[in-house]
Order: sequence, then structure tokens, then C-alpha cells
Amino acid sequence: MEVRIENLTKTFIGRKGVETTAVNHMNFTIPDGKLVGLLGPSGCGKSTTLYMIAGLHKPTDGHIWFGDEDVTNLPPENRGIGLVFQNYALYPHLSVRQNIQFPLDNVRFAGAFGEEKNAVADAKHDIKVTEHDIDESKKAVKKAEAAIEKAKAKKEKAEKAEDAVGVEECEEAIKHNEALMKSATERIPNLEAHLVEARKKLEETVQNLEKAKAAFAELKVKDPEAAKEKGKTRLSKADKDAIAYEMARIVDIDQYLDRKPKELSGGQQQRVAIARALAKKPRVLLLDEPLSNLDARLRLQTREEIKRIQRETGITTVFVTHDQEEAMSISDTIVVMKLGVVQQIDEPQKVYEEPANLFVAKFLGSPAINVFDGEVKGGKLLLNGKVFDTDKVYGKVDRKVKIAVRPESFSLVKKGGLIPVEVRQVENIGRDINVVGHVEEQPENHMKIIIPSELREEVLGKEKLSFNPKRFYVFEEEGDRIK
Amino acid sequence: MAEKVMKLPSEVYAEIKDKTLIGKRRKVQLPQWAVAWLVLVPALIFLALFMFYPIINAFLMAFINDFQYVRGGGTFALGSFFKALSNPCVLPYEGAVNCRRRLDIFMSFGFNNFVNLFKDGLFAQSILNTAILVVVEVPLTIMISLLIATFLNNIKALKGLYQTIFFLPYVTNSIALGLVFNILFSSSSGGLINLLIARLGGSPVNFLGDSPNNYMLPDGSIITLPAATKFHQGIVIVVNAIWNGLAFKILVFMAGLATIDKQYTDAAKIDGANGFTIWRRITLPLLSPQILYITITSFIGAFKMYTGVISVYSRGPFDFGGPSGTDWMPVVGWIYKSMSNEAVDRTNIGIPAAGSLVLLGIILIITIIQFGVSKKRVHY
Repeated sequence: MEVRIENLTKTFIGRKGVETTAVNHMNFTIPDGKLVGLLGPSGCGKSTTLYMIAGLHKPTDGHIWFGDEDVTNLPPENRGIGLVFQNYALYPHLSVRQNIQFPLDNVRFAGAFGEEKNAVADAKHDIKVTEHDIDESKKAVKKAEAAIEKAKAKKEKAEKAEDAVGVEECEEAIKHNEALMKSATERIPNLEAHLVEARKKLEETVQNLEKAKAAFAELKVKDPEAAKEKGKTRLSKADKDAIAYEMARIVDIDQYLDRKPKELSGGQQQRVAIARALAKKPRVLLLDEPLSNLDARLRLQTREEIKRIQRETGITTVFVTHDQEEAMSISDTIVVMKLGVVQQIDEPQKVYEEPANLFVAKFLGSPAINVFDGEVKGGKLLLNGKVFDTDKVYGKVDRKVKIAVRPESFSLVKKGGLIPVEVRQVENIGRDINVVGHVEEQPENHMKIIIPSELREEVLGKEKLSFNPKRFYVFEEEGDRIK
Repeated sequence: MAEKVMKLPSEVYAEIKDKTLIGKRRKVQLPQWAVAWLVLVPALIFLALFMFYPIINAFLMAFINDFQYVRGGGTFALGSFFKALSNPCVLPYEGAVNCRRRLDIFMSFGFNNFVNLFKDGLFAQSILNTAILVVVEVPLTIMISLLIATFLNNIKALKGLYQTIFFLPYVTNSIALGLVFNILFSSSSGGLINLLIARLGGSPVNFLGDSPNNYMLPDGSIITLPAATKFHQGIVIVVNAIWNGLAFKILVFMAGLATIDKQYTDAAKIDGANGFTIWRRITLPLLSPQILYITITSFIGAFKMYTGVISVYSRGPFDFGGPSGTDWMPVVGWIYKSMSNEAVDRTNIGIPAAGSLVLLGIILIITIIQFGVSKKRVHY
């Protein structure tokens, strides 16, 4: 199921009437069967977006589409979604099996002749509406007639008084009401024709219902088993057990079906929550910070599990996280948000390699990207007064800019590199070496450089080092990327 | 005034260096259990004096066959016992020839008092009365308070105001509340309920009066209402008891509802449950600890009902309705009356003591049953 977010806005009104816009004119499309990560710092509106997709929050503006269906005003229970809450919200008094079956208990079928019954109800409703419309039209005709009479009388009076403006006004009113009367009179035959049709339809549907009832009665005698199967309005216990077992198997908790949630570990509870969300075959699966309550090791494992389950079931999935690594590792697409505004929507690698703005560049990557102050003078990019980039022209206006280099994009040179660094500390972390320091003349811009450990001898004990960037990004002061 | 100079952290540390207790032993160190006992002692003394001793006392009075002959002017069994040591002989009944030793009487334990108790038809009736009131009142009051608490929990506007309104009966004296219901259900011209019944075209009812009385209809005609039936009196007693107990129950249920995470109801909504299903399958089970607590305390409270009955009649401490004043006599009322100045045989204190033990036994058994059931039904 494709999910389309259109111009979605959510404004909360606080106690003192202060408006807070949590989500601001958001637009994006999630292709069918993909896993999308909503990424951003806390308070950026990502959970609000998720809850709006779920239907627990009502959008202030905008629309949410599941395929061709506008679900904006649909209540959550009718959206066909599965939601995994941050702290799972497993019903504590129910066993794992009952938890997974809870959504199935609420499933209702039309029954033996439910469709025929609905058709009759629809036909009756149609007749009622049409009759009402005819009444309204007739009333409108009468009203217009009366208005015309009145206007004519008024016109006569005005003519006697030789009030040209008054006459004109009255003529206009007559014309207007005549038009109204005409359209209403024209409507009536159409509506009456429709009413005849609707009555015919009602007869038809009633007959159909009778037929269905008769057929069902016959079936009851002939094949009671089949009749029972056809007449059921909810899932049988056997069906529910089968589904619960299958879901539990998918998330690998089938041996704990009879336990209570509190007898399970955090990771197991998490998987029960996913199984519960999957049980009713949701059109869209929503996960709210699914890994934040797990310890580091379990998080890694569950991350892979979620990806596997999503692939296995092929359900369009949206998940919310503030952990960029989590988002990068399992999403097909990442939506980066800040203060309710979408910053970038792209594949994970693209978001990392081609950040749209300084915020995205800073938010993704660990350790964070190094940012230092540069300037543009005469179209040239300068760092500490020296030309930083010879290839490109950066616009005519002289201004301050930000230069950003990822920690792993530095290459050590003996002398005369573009980035002279004053070293504060060298950290040994096994495979790599972290050089902590700052660019000369910019002690406020701390930086962390990762270089392979073979270069250990060359950096140890040095106070100053020189680097060239393998790759860098330039941003305007306010954050937009200069390409 | 000198300007305030901010100290350096190092100076602060230097100042407090030798003053902190870090690394030093506390001088007197009572073990934790001793401290606990010390704090509990005052409460325990009062409990022993006014709770445990009276219970033992009641047991003695109930199980000594002829306690009425040896009571030393009071109801203190122990005091009577000591008196018996100094004054060893007593005539068991007036005009008796042989003197009986007091100590012998003290030592003759048995079920005499209980046998006499169950011979008393009024006691049996009071048990039945109490049972009826309990069975009708407790489920109704729990259901009503649950409903009100649920709805109060769901509304947003004026929630505080409604909460206050429903809590008011709790801070009102229960005798005063009973008086209000007495006036509401009055069969004289001011009774609102009868006024309402008459307006709606029904015939007014003598709810509480023990004799027929005249009633003026809105059209001015006067009819004679028959004396109150037990059923009609019962309605007033139950309505009063429900209203009286509602406030506290609502409060407890509201507190319980506040602890239920909204995520459970959100999750259930997403799982396709409608409002009633959520209430029945999620809210109620999660509220079960509070429901158990309220059920047990309501049962105990209803079995001990007394003021709820007399206040409705408002005709004194021993009038429980009807011409004989015993129509809705509850067990506690029976006990109180049989040991008061009103009692026929005031000296025979052993029988009311036995009655109170029977009441204790009933309450105990029902509470144990409730706890037994709760093991399966209550989710903590």
C-alpha cells in the first residue's frame, strides 16, 4: 500500500493559547512495500507525523492517502494499520497469545447475507435522500414563486413612483428568482426519475436478500457445516490460534505464547508488539522508536529482525527514530525532519553523501561532521585567507560560509595541506586513530579526524598536522548547501 | 553593604572538608528494625488497648456461659475476673438457695449465648435485613461509581467541577445526608420525590411513615396513603447508602484510571476495538486492584451499616422503621440495641457479644472468599 502525505500540518494549541506547529506542510510518498525512517532530533514532529498516519492525532491541515483512499478522516480502527509503541503497550493482563489475538477478536464479517442486507440499507437510504431532495426542490420552487410575486408587486409600486433604480432592482430580483425556480423545476423530474429507479433498486435488493436468506436456509438443511462457516461474523478460535502461532513464529517468540508480557525480556516484548501489529495483516506498519528501550546489543539484533520481518511480509513500513545509525542501517528511504519541516528525503547513502543542508550534514554521521568558518571573496572560497577550492566559482557576493568535512575524509600530508590543524589529543581506538583538535586560528570549531592506525607514528607527539580534504561540503551561513 | 563575592568551588570544598560525615561513623546506630519498632510503639499501644483487647473481651463474654451473673458492673471481662477473686460467691438467680463460686462460672465455657442468640427472632431478621441491603447496595454502588468514574475520566470541560460535586457527600456528615433523603422521600406535602411522582401522573407513596397519612395531590384533593411497606423503605435506605458511598469509590476509581497508560487504549483503538470493548477488555482488568479493594471495603461497610438506616428515618438511634421500629433493623443496630438501656434483658451482655462475633465471622468468610476469587481475576 502506497502512503502519500500531502501538505500535512499539525498545530497544537497550548494552555495559554500559544500555537506550536509540530508538523509544517509536509509532503512525501512512501512507495508500496518500502521501509521509511523518519529521522530527527526530539521535538521535530516525527512522532506526531506517525500518530497522524495512525489516526490517533487529527491533522490541522492536509491529507493522508493510502493508495487511492483518503484516510485523513478515518478513525484509527478503520485504517488497517499496525502500530508498535515506543514502550510496546502490551496489555499486561493478557498472555502473549491473547495479546496477539486481541486485534483478531475485533474483526467482524458481514455474515451469511450481510452484503445483501447492506445493499437494502443503502437503497433505503438512497430513497430517503432523494425524497428529501424532491421536497427541498419543491419548497425552493414555491419560495421562488412567492419571491417573484412580491418583487412584481414591488415593481408596480416603483413604476408608479417612477423610481428607475427600484424598478431595475426588482427586475433583477425577478430574474434571479426565475432562474432559481427554473433550475429547481428542472431538478424535480430528474430526481423523480431517480426515485423510481431507487424504488426499483430497493425491490431488487429486497428480493436478493430474500433469495440469499432462502439460499442460506436451504444450505443450513443441506450442509450445516458450510452454513455455519458462511454465517459466522467473527474469526473462530482455531483460526485465531493459527494466526497467532504464525505471527509468533515470524518474530520468533512461539515458545513464549502462554507467558505474560512482564515475564519476557525487553527484546521479546518488542517482538510480541510487532507480532500483535502484524496479526491483522495491516496495510501499513508503523513503528515508534522501536529500538530505544533495548540495550545496545539487542538493538543491533532487533534492527536486523525488523528489516527481515519487513522483507518477509512486504508491508509498507514507517518508523520513527532519533538514532541516525538505526535509520541508515534499515531504511530504504530516510526523511530527515527539523522543527516540523522536512529537510531531505533520500536513500540513506544519498542523505549521508549529499546532505541538502548543514543540519542534515551535522545530524548524520558519528563522529559528527567537522564544520569550520570560511569565506567567499571574489567568487573564491577561502579558509583562513588561503584559497581552499580552486576549481569552483562560489558566486559574486563576498560572504561568510561554512566548510564541512566528514571525519573520515581527511588525508594526511607532510606539509602545506589545505587544512592546518592544531592537535589537542590523539585517541587510539584500535582500528583507527582519532585526532582531536581544531583548525588553526579557529579554536572554537572543534574537530575530530579519523585516520587509519598505520599513520600512528606520523601523528604521535606532533602539535601541528596538515591535512587535505578528500571531499568537502560548503554551506551558506544560514545552512543551505552551495553546490 | 559589601559586594557579594562569588566563592571559588575550591574554597567551598576547603571549607566543608572536615565538616562532612564522609568516612566517619555515626555515633549511635540503632538497627533498622529497632527504629521501625520504636516508631510503631504508640500505634501498637492504642491498637492493643482499643482493638485487640476488646476483641478478646468479646470472645470471653460470648463464650462464658453465664457471664451475666459474674459481670462486675461493667463489660470488662478481665475486671470482672479480678473482682471474682475478692468476692468469690454469687447467687446465680434471684432467690437461689445455693451460692455459686464466681471462678467456676468464669471457667464454664460453652455456646449458651450463641444458642440464645439464634433463638432470638429479631437477630435472625436483622441478619436477613443486612444481607438484603448488602446484596442490593454493594453491586449497584460499585457499578454506578465505576460508570461515573469512567465518564468523569473521559470528559475534559468542567472535569474539576464535576469531581468536586461527586466528592461533596464524602465530606458531609452521613446523618445529615440521611436527613436530606428523609425530606426528599417525605410523604408530607414537601417531599420532592412524591411531588415528582404526582406530577408524572403516578400515585404518591408513603416511603417512610409507620402509619397511614393524608397527602394533598397537586389538584388539591386529599388522599390517604397507607403505611410504608418494607419494600418502599428499603428503596430509600439503598438510595441513601449508594449516594453516601459513591464519593469515595469514585475517588478511588478515578485514581486507578489515572494510572492506566493512555497507550493501552490507543493501542486497543488501533487494534480495532470499540469504546465498550476497550472498557471491558482493557480498562476493567487494569482497574481490577481498585475494584477488589472497593468490593471488599464495600462489603465490610455494608455489613456494618447502621447510621445509613437510622438517619433515613431520623427518629432516634433505635428506630429502624415500621410500627415496632424493627422493620429494617441491621445486625449492628440489633447489637447496639440489645446492650443499651432499651434492651429487654440488659444484663445479658453475652448475647450481643456473641452476635458481634457472628457478624465478624460472616465478614471474615466473605472477605476470604473475595481474596480467593481475586487471585484469578485481579491483575497487578
